[in-house]
Order: sequence, then structure tokens, then C-alpha cells
Amino acid sequence: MIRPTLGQQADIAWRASLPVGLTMLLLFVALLSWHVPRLGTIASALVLISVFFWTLHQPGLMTMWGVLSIGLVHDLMTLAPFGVGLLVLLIVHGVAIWQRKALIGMPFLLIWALFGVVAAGATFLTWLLVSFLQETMVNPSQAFNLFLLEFLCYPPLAYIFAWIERRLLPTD
Amino acid sequence: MNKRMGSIGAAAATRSWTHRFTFVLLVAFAFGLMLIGKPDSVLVSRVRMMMMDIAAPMINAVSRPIDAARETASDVRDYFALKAENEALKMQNDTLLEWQRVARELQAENASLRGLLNYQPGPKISFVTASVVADTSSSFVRSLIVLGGTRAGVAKGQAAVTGSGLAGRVLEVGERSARILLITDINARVPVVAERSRDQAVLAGRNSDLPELLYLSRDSDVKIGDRIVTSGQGGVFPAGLPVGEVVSVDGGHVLTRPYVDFSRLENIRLIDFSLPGILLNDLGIDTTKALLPGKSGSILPEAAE
Repeated sequence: MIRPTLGQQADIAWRASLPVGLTMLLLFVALLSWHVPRLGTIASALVLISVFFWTLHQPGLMTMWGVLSIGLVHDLMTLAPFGVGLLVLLIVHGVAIWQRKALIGMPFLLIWALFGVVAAGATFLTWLLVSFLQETMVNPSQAFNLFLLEFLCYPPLAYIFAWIERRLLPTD
Repeated sequence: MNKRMGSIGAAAATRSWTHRFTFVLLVAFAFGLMLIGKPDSVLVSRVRMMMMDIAAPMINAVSRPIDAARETASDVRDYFALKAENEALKMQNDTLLEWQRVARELQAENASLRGLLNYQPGPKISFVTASVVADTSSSFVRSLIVLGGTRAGVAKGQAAVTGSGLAGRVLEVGERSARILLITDINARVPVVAERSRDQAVLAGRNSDLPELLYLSRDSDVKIGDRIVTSGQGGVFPAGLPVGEVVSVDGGHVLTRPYVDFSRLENIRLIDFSLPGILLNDLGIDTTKALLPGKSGSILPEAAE
């Protein structure tokens, strides 16, 4: 058996870390001070979409440990109650793993619709937990706006992720 | 053969169960974090600021080229708007000169009255100007991260203001960075007063662009367009800082629009008010010189470190 060279090992390693690394990068880029009204909201939406997509398409590269690190960094960087983002991302990851076999061959529109259901559940759970932890009823319209953002951002992001997956990632 | 297949199947089943068990443990861990991580937890706050101290300079470095590109685009726009802007500035300059004259008169009058009263001035106010590096606002939180921490003299509770008015207060401080809780956040409460009618109230953020005035008295006379300023009660902010303008009075709900445009914040001034007082004179600056271009009392974090 031929052992891979150091260069090949490094190549495999960076490709394998791409889904988690890309999600982290999206989180940080969205947090930059872009001076665009309400852009700050987009960070959580991008992270949720990325975790869902990569869990569905590359579960070996978006493991629960990857989701754990993304969730922790997300909760530390944003001021939302600690642990809420992590819990929601873990649940989205769990649902995607659970439904993966049924979803993977389906047409894109159906996956998008099902992502909508997952995103709606995730946003509702976030709203519920934040309201509970802050002991005040958070404006539901904010949660609805977040859901809309997630739902509408899914197709363009999924297209870019799919392109990255085809070009850069090894097949299963 | 069958025996071997059976053992492989058993191993896979064990692995699958271990996987599920670990997943359940992680979910329980997240719940645990929620319990220990209530917003007032000291430990979480410390870990957050350590993370912010590492991330803030990196975010700042990455955002430099973006800022440069934005500034270039803005320069091009400015070039085409030069003539109109020049006219507007000339008019504004006339108004400001008039204000300067009034301010000088008032300053002289103030000094003579203070002399008559044998007035003891309060301690000088210190302030730090810090650049905004990250907007960590989300649907459920309104906050910013600025590049300037304890090393530059930033401390928890300091007021964050811009030229337009009050933006928020310092919530957490690290060595090199600090987090500002904006007045639009749901946890923000600012004691305020309506400038015209002198009605006292508490400005409460709602995670939207329009914070609400709470605890107004029933016979209050607040109207649309009224200026809202800090009342100085509670000791966090001094009296008289401009906060916003009333935009809607609907039954018991009074909404205000903050003067600060939170989407365009680039630099923010963090002020330690040990005693009330907002005149530039009290900041240790000669008001007449402060009006001249190129003069500033700011201490940039880089310079202060």
C-alpha cells in the first residue's frame, strides 16, 4: 500500500475541513462591520443554512463535533443567550442526519421546502428559548424576518456550496 | 462466515448507538450551557471577552480592504456632489459661526455666574474614541464590538456616544476590545426625559429600530417630534444627552427614533461620566478651538496603548 506524501495529506486535510471552515468563515464575514442596515442578522442565517447543507451532502465532514465548535463560536461571538445557537444547530444537524437518506435523491424544490420546515422550527425554538431565558416576550416579527432570510438565502447558497462540493470535495 | 457477518453487524450497531448517545450528551451539554450562561454569568462573560480579544484585531485586519473600497466609492460619490455640498456647508458654516458666538457669550456668562456662586466644578470627564469592528446584532440582540479595551481605559458601564447622540453603553470589556449594548436592544433601559414637556420615562429597546418610552405618567404631554434626552437618573448616563425623537404616539405606546444611525457607525466615543456635564469645556477642550477643523480631543486606542 502506497502511503500518501505530506503534500497529499495536507491537501486531504484542508479539503476535509472545508465545510466547517467555510461555515466559520461565513460567520466571521457576516459579522464584519459592513455598514449595511440589518446585515448583522444574516450571520445566524448563513450558519444554519451551511450546517444543514453540509450535513445533508457531506455528513462525514460536517460531524456533530464540527457543529459543536461552530455553535460555540457562534454563541461566543453573538450576544444571544449562551447555548441557544448551539442547541438549535445540533437539532438541525440531527434532523438532517435522520432524514438524509430520504432527502438526498429528491428534487431541489422539495429539499428547499423541507429546509423551510426545518428553518421555521429552528427559528421558533430560538425565539421560544430566547424569550424564556430573557424573561420577556421577544417580538415575534423579528423571528419571522430571520426565518424569511434563511428561507430566501438557501437557494443561492446551496448553489455555491454545490459548486464547491463538485469542484473541491472528494466523493463519498 | 455468518458468524463474521454477525460480528460486523453488531459492531456497526454499537457504533450507531454510541453515536446517538454522544449526540444526546451534546444536546444535554447545550442545555447545561444555557443554564450556566444566563446573561449575567461572570464566567461566560470572561470567556466571551477572551474570544473577542482574539477575534477583534483579526476582524479589523480583514475589514481594512473592505473599508478602503467603501471609502473609494464614497470619494467618487463625494466628488460629483462637491458643488451642492459646498453650498450646503457654506450655509451650515454661517449657522455654526452664529452658534459659536452664542456659545462664547454663554461661556463668558457661565464663568462669571460660577464666580458669583463660588461653584465647585466636578472632575474632568475622560473619553476614548474606538473604531467599530464588528456588528454582532441579530434578530434577538443589538450589539457592536469596538477595538478598544481596558488597555485604552475603557470600562464597563461607560456611555457610548456619537456626534448625533447616545448609542449605548459598554457591556463587556476585554483587554483590546469591548462590547457595546445598543439602546435598541431588548435589555437596554435608559432613564430619559422629554425636552419640551419634561415628562420622565424609561427608554426601552425592543430589538427593532424604534425603542419605546415606558412608565410615562398618564397626564404626560409627549407629542410627535419631541426631542428625548437622558434624564441623568440612575447615575449611568449624565442628563441632557440627546437620544432620539418621538415618531409615534398611539394610546399608551410612544415610539422614538434614535438620532444615531446604527448602520453607519464607524467610530464611537466611550465616555466615563463620574459626574454629569456634557459641555465640551468640561471635557477639557477649549470650545473655540474644538470648532476648528483638524482639532480633536479623541484618544484613539492605538495611540493610548
